[in-house]
Amino acid sequence: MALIQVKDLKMYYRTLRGHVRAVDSISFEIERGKALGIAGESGCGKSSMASAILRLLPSNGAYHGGSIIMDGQDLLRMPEEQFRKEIRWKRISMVFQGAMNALNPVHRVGEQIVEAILSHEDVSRAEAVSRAKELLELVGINPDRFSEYPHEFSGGMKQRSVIAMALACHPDLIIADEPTTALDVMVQAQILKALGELRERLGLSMMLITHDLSVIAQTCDTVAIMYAGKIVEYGSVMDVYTNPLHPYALGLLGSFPNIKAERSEVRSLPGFPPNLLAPPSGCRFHPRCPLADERCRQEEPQMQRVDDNGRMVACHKIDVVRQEGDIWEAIRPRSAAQEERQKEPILEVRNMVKHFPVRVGFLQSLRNKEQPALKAVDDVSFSVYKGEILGVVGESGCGKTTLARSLLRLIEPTSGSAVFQGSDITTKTPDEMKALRRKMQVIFQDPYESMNPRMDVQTIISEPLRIQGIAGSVREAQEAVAAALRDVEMVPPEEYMTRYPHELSGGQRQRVAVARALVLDPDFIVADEPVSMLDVSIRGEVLNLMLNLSRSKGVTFVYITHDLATARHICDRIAVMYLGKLVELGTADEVIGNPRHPYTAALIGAVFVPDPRHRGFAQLLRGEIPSPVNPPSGCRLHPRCPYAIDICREVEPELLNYEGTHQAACHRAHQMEDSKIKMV
Amino acid sequence: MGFRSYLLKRVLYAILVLFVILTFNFVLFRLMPGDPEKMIIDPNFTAEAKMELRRQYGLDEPLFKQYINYLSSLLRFDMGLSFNTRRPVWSELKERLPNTIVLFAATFIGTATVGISLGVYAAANRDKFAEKFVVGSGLFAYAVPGFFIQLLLLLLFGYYWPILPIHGTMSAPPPEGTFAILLDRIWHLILPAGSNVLIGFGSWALYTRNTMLEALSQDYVVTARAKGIHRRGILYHHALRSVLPPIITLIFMSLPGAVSGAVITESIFSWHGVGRYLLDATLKMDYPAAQGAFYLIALAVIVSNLLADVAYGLVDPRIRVGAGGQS
Ligand SMILES: Nc1ncnc2c1ncn2[C@@H]1O[C@H](COP(=O)(O)OP(=O)(O)O)[C@@H](O)[C@H]1O
Ligand code: SF4
Ligand code: SF4
Ligand SMILES: [Mg+2]
Repeated sequence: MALIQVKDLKMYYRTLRGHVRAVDSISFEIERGKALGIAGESGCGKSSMASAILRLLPSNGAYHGGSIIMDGQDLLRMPEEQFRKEIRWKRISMVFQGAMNALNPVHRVGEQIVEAILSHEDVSRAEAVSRAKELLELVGINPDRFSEYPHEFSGGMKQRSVIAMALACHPDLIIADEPTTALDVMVQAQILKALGELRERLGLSMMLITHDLSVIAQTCDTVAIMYAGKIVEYGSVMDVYTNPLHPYALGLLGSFPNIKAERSEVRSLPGFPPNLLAPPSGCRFHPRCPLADERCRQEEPQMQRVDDNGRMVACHKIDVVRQEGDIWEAIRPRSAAQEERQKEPILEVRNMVKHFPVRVGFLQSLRNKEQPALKAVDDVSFSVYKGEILGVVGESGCGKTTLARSLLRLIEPTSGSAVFQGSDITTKTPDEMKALRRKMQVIFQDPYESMNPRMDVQTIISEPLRIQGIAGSVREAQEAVAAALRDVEMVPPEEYMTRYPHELSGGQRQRVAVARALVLDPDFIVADEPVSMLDVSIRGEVLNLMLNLSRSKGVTFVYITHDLATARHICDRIAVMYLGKLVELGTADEVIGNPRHPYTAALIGAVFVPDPRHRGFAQLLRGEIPSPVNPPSGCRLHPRCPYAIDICREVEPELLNYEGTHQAACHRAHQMEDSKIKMV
Repeated sequence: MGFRSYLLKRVLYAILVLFVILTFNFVLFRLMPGDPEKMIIDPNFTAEAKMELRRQYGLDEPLFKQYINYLSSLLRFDMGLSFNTRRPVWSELKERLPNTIVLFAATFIGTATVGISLGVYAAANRDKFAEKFVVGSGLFAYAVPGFFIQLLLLLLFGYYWPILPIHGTMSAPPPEGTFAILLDRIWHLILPAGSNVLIGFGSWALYTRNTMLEALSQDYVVTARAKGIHRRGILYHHALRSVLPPIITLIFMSLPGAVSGAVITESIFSWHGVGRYLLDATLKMDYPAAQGAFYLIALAVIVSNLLADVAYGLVDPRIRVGAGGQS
């Protein structure tokens, strides 16, 4: 008997332009003690479904039928007061998307857990407090911090407290909506590991919603793939991941780079999910499906059982998929031949340092003479070779963005030099710098924020031309814009030139950002987390674009990212940063295949693999990245490093050469070969 | 940043502002049109008598000296003699101060209570008639000039429906007995304070409603709903509590604006207070009196700003916790 059965659930939002059918006839069940993963691109209705189960629809939301059965009762027909008292949090609790904000900033963390207990159970306050403390301990937080406020907690600790809060009334089911999306890989792995252990121990069921298929592969028993308000494939994680049958499931799974697989291609899923105001007729996936035919456009496929293992798929052409296997065309991997010729440096960074002054209390600043500094980048040296893609990876706060901005001189470095094509840019006058900007461009994380919403695509892309004063005639500018749009594969260019940013999809917007960088025909582009705001299905398109540009036009890229899996697949070389220091540098294969620095090894270990056959967590680092204001002595990693020895506390390791071009800064790097994490 | 150094910074800042305002005040009253000497010194006086008067008021000194005298005596609350009544300005102000404070307090408590409650009520009844009514009347009160409303009230209660006193602080002669005096005072307070509430509640209600609605859409409020907290708990414990810091700041921040309103209110309803005194003195070009009243009001504004900062620091734990002194 399933713990909860959702049958034919329908829910929509009333809007000025009509009904958004966010949840359209969805059915599934969750067994006691099991975990169901819900996956799909954003806007597919995952979060709406979660709030529908807890009856937390916003004021413009409405049910349109269906039932949610728990213990033989239909939750949708229960009186509100009874539902609030008996179901919410007591039977079903929830960890919301953006759980970092789930704690009220003006109340103490512990009190918020106590509040949950007291509003459902008839216990004394003292008992509730002691239980809240136990819960904090359970999720790995020192119970002495009960009385602290949320802002005193780090991101990971907030997330842990939210989980503790979700466990407060011993629920049967936890709904977790993107529980770790905003967190760094390392913290994400720590949290999911803790959550998995807790679930096992307490026999909890879970519904885990995420766009990240690797998280589901690592933590769930069954999976439902959602597309445009419907479930299109449903089955055990093992079945669906090893042998997806719905073209969407196949495409989505294929677009997940696997860090442990052979370095190959990054695929994308062309197009984007439909607007749910007026979803496509027939099969909602047909505009994006390579197999779509007339029947698909006319007739809506129903979920049907495809094997004895409970797998359900909604597609007319399962047989074709069964026969042909991979129906999505893979973008070819980068040829090895090209990796050979990249040896001439285009940029040489020497002893780059960037310290930010730290604001201190007024009284304190009177007392101390010396201003403390935040050492964001602390003596970093490396070269970037012509035509290569150099990845710079590390947790957030390790100095990646500051490094990028300093070497472009978007901010003034504290000291050090950056020699670009033979001349040091740190000594250039503003006019010389402006001329140099034609050669060096930057792409930011959030394409939406970096674009003026009131400019059309044409104006956005030609802006650098005007700034440089080389716009020429209107015709010339238009041609340059068209060429740049063609370079980013937005054809025909005329179709996009007069659109505004809000009329573009996320991937298209980021392409426009790339086109804007390309219009000046630069030799060198720094891309700072260019895809982290994008859905995974379209990350591939932007990354492959960078790959193709470096291959066909010889553009050099510095690709800044916290995502090792994509870095492995598109980068020639990878630099790993920790707390302002460069700790490892080498080719992608050297660094990912044979990490010499414990930090790199741990980062790789924390990356989830979208493959349920390879489960488990490698050795994770303890805790979270410390403040760069007073970095630890000696090796900055030593308080978190599982291999630390005495010397690590006192002597800072130098960046030394190992095999090939492989460099690492660790006292024990020479021994790392033995202890290196096992690759697939 | 520690709370202590936060506080110290605010205090230093307040002193600086006070200094700037005082200087401004000094210059301003000397730039005003008209020659004040002509107002008090009869042209028929003998030259000696004129000199004597000028000396008495310090007008014979060089400007810089006047400035220093002005500053040092203000700090001692020695505001000189009124040109008009020849009485010490501070004594005159002291007589009026309690009246002003009473009007102020009544206005403030009234406006804040009415405004905040209506705002919370509107937010809790989103998209219902109640919300639309509060927003509509709030906008109306906010948009119509305050003195216009007050003049209308004056007309209404002074002419058509004379049930409330429209001028003065108390009846003359005052009634017998403490309790009766008190009632009489309150009776006179109703119209000035009530009209102020009517003028002022709009911005409060709208601001409270907006911040409440924003808070109600925050993730932590949705989480509270999911936790099965009852409606009142969500409204007050989660939403209202988290918007208190900005609202409390608003309370203090709106004090300065209320001061200028008070000058008008006191004039319209002939309220025997500092604001009316300032107006009278300015019209009569009575420097010492105007400067003194202005000084008092500036002081009140600066202190209320300082209080706003302190209150904000106390309500918002993100500022308060620094109190330990580290970092
Ligand atoms: N309050 C709302 N009013 C109108 N439309 C909404 C509302 N919330 C979500 N939607 C729409 O419903 C669809 C599903 O959204 P959501 O459930 O958030 O998807 P997901 O969690 O899969 O990203 C989207 O098209 C979204 O724009
Ligand atoms: S029904 Fe047709 S369009 Fe839909 S997924 Fe299957 S093949 Fe593609
Ligand atoms: S130097 Fe020591 S502490 Fe640092 S990474 Fe190597 S083993 Fe760990
Ligand atoms: Mg969502």
